[in-house]
Amino acid sequence: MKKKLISICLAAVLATAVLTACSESAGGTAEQTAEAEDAAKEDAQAETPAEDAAPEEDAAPVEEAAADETAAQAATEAAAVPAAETAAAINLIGEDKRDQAPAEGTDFSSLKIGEIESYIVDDGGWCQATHESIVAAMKELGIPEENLIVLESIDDTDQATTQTAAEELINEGCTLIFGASTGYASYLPEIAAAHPEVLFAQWGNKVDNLIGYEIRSYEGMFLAGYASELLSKDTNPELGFSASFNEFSVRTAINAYALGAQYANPEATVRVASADSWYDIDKETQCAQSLIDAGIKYMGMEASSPAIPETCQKNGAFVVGYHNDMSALAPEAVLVSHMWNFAPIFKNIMINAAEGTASTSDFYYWGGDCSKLSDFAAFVPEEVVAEVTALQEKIQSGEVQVFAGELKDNAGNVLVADGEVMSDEDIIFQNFFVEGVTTSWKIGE
Amino acid sequence: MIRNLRFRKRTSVSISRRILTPIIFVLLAFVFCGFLLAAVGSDPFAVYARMMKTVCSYSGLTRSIEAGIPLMLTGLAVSFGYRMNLNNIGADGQYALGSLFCIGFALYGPVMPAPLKILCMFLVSMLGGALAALIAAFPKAKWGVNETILTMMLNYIFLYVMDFLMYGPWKERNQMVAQTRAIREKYWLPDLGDSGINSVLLIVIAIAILLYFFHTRTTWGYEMEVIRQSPRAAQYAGMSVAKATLLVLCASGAIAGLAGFAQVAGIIHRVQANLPNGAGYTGIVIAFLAGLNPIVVLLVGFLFGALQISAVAVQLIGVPSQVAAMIQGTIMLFVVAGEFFNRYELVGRKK
Repeated sequence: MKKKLISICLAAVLATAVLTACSESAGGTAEQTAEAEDAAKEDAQAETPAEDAAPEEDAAPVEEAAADETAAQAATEAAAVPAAETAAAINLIGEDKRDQAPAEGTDFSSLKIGEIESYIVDDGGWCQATHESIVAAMKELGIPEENLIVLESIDDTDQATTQTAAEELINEGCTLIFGASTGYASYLPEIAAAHPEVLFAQWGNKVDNLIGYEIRSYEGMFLAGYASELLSKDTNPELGFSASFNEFSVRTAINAYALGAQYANPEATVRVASADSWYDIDKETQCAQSLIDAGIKYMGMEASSPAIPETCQKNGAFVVGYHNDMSALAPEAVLVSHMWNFAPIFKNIMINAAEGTASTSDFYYWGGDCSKLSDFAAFVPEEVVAEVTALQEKIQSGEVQVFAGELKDNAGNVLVADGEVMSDEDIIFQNFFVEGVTTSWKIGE
Repeated sequence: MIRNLRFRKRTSVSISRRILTPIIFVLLAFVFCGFLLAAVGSDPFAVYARMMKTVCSYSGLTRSIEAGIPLMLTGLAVSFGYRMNLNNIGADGQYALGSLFCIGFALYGPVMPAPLKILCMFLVSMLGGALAALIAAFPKAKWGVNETILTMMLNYIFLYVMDFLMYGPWKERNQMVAQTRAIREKYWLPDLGDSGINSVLLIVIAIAILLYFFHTRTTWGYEMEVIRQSPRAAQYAGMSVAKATLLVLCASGAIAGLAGFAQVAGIIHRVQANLPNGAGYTGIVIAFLAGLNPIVVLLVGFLFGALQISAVAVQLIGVPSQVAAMIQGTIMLFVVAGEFFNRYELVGRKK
């Protein structure tokens, strides 16, 4: 009896191990083939190119049939769904709308704004950047401050809490609600569908029923990498990067930083240390320390806590701040800071909301002063500042493209051919590290 | 005077005391928080009225249930283990593994008719939870290794496995959120009519009732009680303590794993990083407060859901989010402290 039980246990544990091992080989073909088969069999639209063309609702009638009919038939039907229906879903708002002035006589005083934050608004990082941008945009438009209601510490992994927060804001009369954390994208669409009179603006990639906003933060990161390498190239061409999670936006930041460094010195490389956490003082300290111990003097960061600038200052190393101006935290270590500035986008959303021209298919993906650098520290040589400023102008005029060919990943594959520019979609969903980036991370998607 | 007072363990606790003590201590907690709120410049009565308004609204009620369902299940899981003096601190991890098994089966498993598939999802999520508990249960049963430490430490492992899958291979394509794609709509458990409450609640209630009868009406329930009171006596009576330990811990894990099923089939229809979000730990408090009674666990789970929902609303009348969280914590702390007076009484020392 006992022996039987033990052997069952062992078999079960083995099965778990095999299951995990299978999923671990995600990049490999085996999993993809299995997925494709599965997709053809059941989903009729899952992981094939047809997926992007056919949203779930469109495929629903097909899907019912798929269970009984042959896979081939189902796949054809899914592909037959007209792509035009979904293409209209995204209305990319151009950067030329940046300085759009409100129409004469627009009444902003009745615009009541809600803000949902995953943490407190003076966290010195992400939430603070969003909050300050909302306040700045309101101020520019002359919207009184009492028209803003902020709900803090709303857990973005909890459906009930997030939806309650949104409904409470609607009950308070808010007609424009900002969701400032990626997780809300899963739960707000349902509320938005039930309240078509309320506009929701959601950070991150475009999802149904919500206005999307994102920033070309890679422009600022490119400049950050350029500045770091200008200072570092004579002593050590290798730069460091303290990162949080192995995730699209973080990979974009690392790649842009590396490309900026290589713009200053083609030999430049970037070594990545990761905390695998969005906020962890201990691990972020260890990341910065391990880079410094490896002889690195200049680093970039994509992390939230003040640990990295403080560790750099202690060790005489230098860092480019992130989220907000970090110079006050470590005045001797912070060269300059990469700042999130949503104000121009928020201002535009507020104008459109007040004038009634906003649509839930709007999507903002702006760069320029949205992805700006703070003032440089006084110890940074003036010629470096001048060169960075010159490069900034070249990016704004479009003369320099960050993700332009020829671009290779760190395994030597060509990502973008010479003379071509990467599409916005590929820039947002980066599944690669560029040449010269050293990291233990694997691309898991 | 004070020197003449001491605590004495109560031999029995009356039903009315069981019910009244937590209520009195919740009220005390509100009084205490009243001072806190007044100190930060808010009107305590307005704050409490706002909390009640949110919870008592219809959508507040349904959301409290929605937030409460995973808590009820982890509460049931912990109380089941504790019925035999087994501290299952690992409900968080068991919940995580249960949800991973469930979503793995739903998304990548074989094609089958919807009712059968939902049944299988139900079973694999229990299997996932049970496996997570088994890793701690086996050493406990075989060598008497402390299950508290094992189950707690395993939480980290399963949550990291979850993180790995959510940020990696199972992540929904072209989405920034660390979550899987949603399961097909035909595999969703239906809502109860137009109420907005998912039918998974019925499953939770059924499990609680089953557990209640298990404890009060079956030989196994009786054996568990004997082992709890005296493992040695049970051994002499011919009961296998090791076998019971293994089974009870695994069953406890299976119930926690069902929280994953409730989320996937009933509530959010997908899995995301950090889905348990401490529900396993809250479950410990819930089990304790409910006096290990499965039916009462449901009620306490609902109240904890309501507390979570109402804390959102008080920010609207100017209470800082930190103070809102503090109210939640204070109420929990007071109720737990109140439990002490259910077990002990204050008596004068005999001269």
